[in-house]
Amino acid sequence: MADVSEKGETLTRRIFLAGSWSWLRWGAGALLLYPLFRFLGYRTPKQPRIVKVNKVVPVGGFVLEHDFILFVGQTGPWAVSRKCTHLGCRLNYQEKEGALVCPCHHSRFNKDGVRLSGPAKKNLPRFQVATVREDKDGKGYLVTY
Amino acid sequence: MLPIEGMNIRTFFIETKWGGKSMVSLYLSVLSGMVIALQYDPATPFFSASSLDLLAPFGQFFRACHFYSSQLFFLFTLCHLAAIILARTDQQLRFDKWLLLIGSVLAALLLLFTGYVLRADATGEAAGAIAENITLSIPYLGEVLNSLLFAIEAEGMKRVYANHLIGLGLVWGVCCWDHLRRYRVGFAQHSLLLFTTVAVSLCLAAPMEPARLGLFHIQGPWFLLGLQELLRYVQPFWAGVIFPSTVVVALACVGAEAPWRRRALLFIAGWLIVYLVLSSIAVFR
Repeated sequence: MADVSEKGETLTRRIFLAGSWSWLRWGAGALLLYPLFRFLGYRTPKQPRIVKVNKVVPVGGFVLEHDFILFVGQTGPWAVSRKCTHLGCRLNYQEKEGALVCPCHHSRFNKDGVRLSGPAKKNLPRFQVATVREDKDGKGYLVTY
Repeated sequence: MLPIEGMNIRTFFIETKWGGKSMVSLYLSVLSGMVIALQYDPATPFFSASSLDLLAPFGQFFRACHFYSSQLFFLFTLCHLAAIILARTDQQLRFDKWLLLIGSVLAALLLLFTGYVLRADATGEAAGAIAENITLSIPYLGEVLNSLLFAIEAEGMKRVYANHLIGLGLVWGVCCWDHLRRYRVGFAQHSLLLFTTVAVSLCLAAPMEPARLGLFHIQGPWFLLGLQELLRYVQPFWAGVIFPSTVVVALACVGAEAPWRRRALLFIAGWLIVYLVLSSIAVFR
């Protein structure tokens, strides 16, 4: 039985089938997005990175590396991430105030990575540090992250 | 060119051929971009970009030419959009075509932005990290969109480069295809603009800010300064996604019938004032 469509045309079987076919093609096209997004979302599992800092840092000193900052205190060495927990900008160390400062939105963290102020809500991650007493490359620190 | 006697600023603004200027700047941007793409390596982005300036013969000129022509392309696109709205020419367009053209402005903005990210200096690196984290803050779709657009943390500059070079250009082309079939622009019509852009590129290097000790303040690209300021006070999803999306929706509504057009224009005016104030605060920090 013929019905009347929204445009005022009589809805025949032919129009209905043609419309369905069109929707089916759009649906098939949309389905193709699923493998595309699965493909793009794949990440090769990353091994932990180990970086050697080839220098002996005096107590109270620090070394600024690309991804972390290494401090040496009375209790030993520790490293904190330089990636701001707000939006990922690289932090710099303000030696005078002993604070890590984000250049983008000015979040501040202390040497232990504890948040002091600014829009960041979380503390900085701390990385594992091992002291290398003596090996073929000399003394230094191994930082794992 | 100054307003001619008897012609007010509004008429002058409307009658200036911003679209043509924008296209010619785009031609120059694409040509210089093709040249620098032959030397640029996304695996070592900062080294590569700074080598262009310091080592490659005429590299500084080509990078500057790409930078300034791209800036002009975007600026003239915005002027073109404003002139079209002021002249009410948009009302002659079908709504779906208007939406496509608004999409082209977004694609142009992303093209300009990915260019900033690709140079991977302190500003570029920070801009990339911020964009990635804002995208990831979108519920449900964040991961997918980040995989599509940035994924800098996991993949470096690979995807940003692919999008800058092909993906976004293609989106822009699709959005503007119908529009550009009607309007042809030749280099000869805007020779003064071309000459000035090339001359400026010869004299003035494109900005580059290497990461260094004691860098405690980074200013983002001029068109994102307001957003950078807003991100200090408001959560990333609201400041980086919802706030900019509202103006895009309003721009889309400009193509609709009254009274939506008038409401959308009022909203855009208010939005621009807020953004201008935020940008001014960011400049004087």
